Amino acid sequence: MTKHDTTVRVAAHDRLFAAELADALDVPVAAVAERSARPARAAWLAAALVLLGAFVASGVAWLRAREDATGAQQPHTFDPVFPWYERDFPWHRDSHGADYAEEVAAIPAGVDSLTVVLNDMAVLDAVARRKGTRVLHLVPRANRGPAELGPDVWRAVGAMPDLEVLMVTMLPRARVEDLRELRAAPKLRALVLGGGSITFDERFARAILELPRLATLMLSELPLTAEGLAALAGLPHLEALLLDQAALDEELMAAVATLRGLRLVYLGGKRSEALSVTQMQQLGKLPRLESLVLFGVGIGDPVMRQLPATLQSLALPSLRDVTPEGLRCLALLPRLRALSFQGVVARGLEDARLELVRKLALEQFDMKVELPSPQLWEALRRSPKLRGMTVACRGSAGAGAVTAECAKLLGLERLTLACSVAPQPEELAPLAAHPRLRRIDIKIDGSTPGKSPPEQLDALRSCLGPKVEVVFAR
Amino acid sequence: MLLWMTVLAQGTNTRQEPPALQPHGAMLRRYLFVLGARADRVDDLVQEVFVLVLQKGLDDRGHAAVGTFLRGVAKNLLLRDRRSAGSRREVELADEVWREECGDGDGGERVDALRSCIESLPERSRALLQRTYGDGLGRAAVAAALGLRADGVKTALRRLRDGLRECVERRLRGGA
Repeated sequence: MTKHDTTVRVAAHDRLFAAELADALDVPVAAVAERSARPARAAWLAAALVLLGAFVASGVAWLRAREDATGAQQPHTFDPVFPWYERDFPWHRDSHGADYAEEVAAIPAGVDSLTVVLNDMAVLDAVARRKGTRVLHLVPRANRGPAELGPDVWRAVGAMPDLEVLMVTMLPRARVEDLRELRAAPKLRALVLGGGSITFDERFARAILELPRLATLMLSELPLTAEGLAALAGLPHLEALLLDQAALDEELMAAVATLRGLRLVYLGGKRSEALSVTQMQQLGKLPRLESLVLFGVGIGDPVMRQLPATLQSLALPSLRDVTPEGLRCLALLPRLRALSFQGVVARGLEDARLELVRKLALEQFDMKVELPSPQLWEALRRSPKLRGMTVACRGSAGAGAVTAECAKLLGLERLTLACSVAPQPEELAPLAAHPRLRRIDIKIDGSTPGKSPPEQLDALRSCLGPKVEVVFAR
Repeated sequence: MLLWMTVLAQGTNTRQEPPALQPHGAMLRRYLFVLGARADRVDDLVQEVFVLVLQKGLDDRGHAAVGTFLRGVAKNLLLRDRRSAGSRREVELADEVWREECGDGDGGERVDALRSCIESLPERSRALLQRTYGDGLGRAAVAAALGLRADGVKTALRRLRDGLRECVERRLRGGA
């Protein structure tokens, strides 16, 4: 981010407050705006403050000292179609790759998301010097360059003033103490760590606690401990916890249940081990839980009946152990607005799924592996609130057939296509005249964001026009 | 019945906000101002948004979804008038600030928190706000009314606003 960008953002913050003050005082925004310019500091300020008298100081002190007895408020409203937590997921956006320092120098100024292969410290130094990098995916090379991620690496990353999201995969034998260097990154709010041999214990967690702005934490393929997870309660802003390829036992879930600020929980299990009723009941203790993603875990009817009533968004794993009655339980979730089927649904469950779509006022509906039946397409067309959809377009059903059906979903604002190959521009043409569509995410099996040729993306964007954002995501 | 049919029956050629969209008027004014619209143009722009939306038709998908849709239309309206890539980027950056602070909602809870903070102020501090912004008094008149020096009013207001911003952030973080 440039200095000008920072100035613009500060000004926007000021205008937001001015507008809110106008509303709170019930006056026109012009009445507040004229007087909202920040005054320049002057040497006489100290003398003026002395002359002010005590009443302003007491007013401010009153506000600072007063304990708020009204309890916590939800800072954000949840939109299941454009969920707040997505901004912190680095795989949901284009990323520019660089393997060597000279490649970093050639990256255009406006690019803020980088995937960097850590061949040597020179490339990291070049990235750290570059302004405006907000998202960084660091891929260490175990057989070249730093064999371990030493303190110099973490220190360099911690020195990046604009860094908001850091993803380090294939995490080698980093020392927990060195991770503390990240505390210097003033804006770091999302951390994705994966593929290492370090155990996430209390010591590891304490290093993370020094990142006070952290709102999203993903731990992938790391051995976990209940003490480590419980220690995360020290992060006041932690709202999203993603545990991937984790051996989820009841002790771990009890620890997760102590993180009462969580709004999103992602549980990716190993070898489809079954979740227990007790484990699901633990999640029910999270008072703010809005979104639950279950992947690679087994689930049966008793667990379905224990799904937390606070859920607004639910992503289901394979349902091989769920009966139609179990699936129909979802209709009892009073706040459910988004439903995702991540695996193939058995033949016996198709009718139950169709009933759910007809009964629930879903805003987001996902079928990531299979195509909707004609009856399901019809039910989706009749869904009064449907604004977002994920649909597979693989095999004999090319993207063109899918987009033709999606074009009839008149409320659609966002479409995610799960494809085996990138669609051709003409396959997206049915959506060109859609009245509300504003974003298309294209997920290609096994691909890495940012690795698709830019001209491919340009062609898709040209087909749909400027009002629709097209992104290759993972 | 779609919202737009109801509203058209009531007439949309006035400067009044269509009743069905009126709950979103305050939010849109705040949003447009944050994105960089001039304060004296905000009301006109809100009207333009409403007219556009009513012409195209609007399905009532709930307050939050309608609000998100209206903000999208408002932003595109502003972007349409921005010629350079730089000024367009400024709109995008401001939109980012809105989304960071208000999430996917209309920011109403922030205004509520601010109202509570103002109500908690000592009377003289509230008087400073009211006389400055509500009564539209100049700095000299405010100073005379409150027994301050004119140059002290500016500083007092700045400190008061800073304190109110801190109060709002504390209330929004709550006691978790």
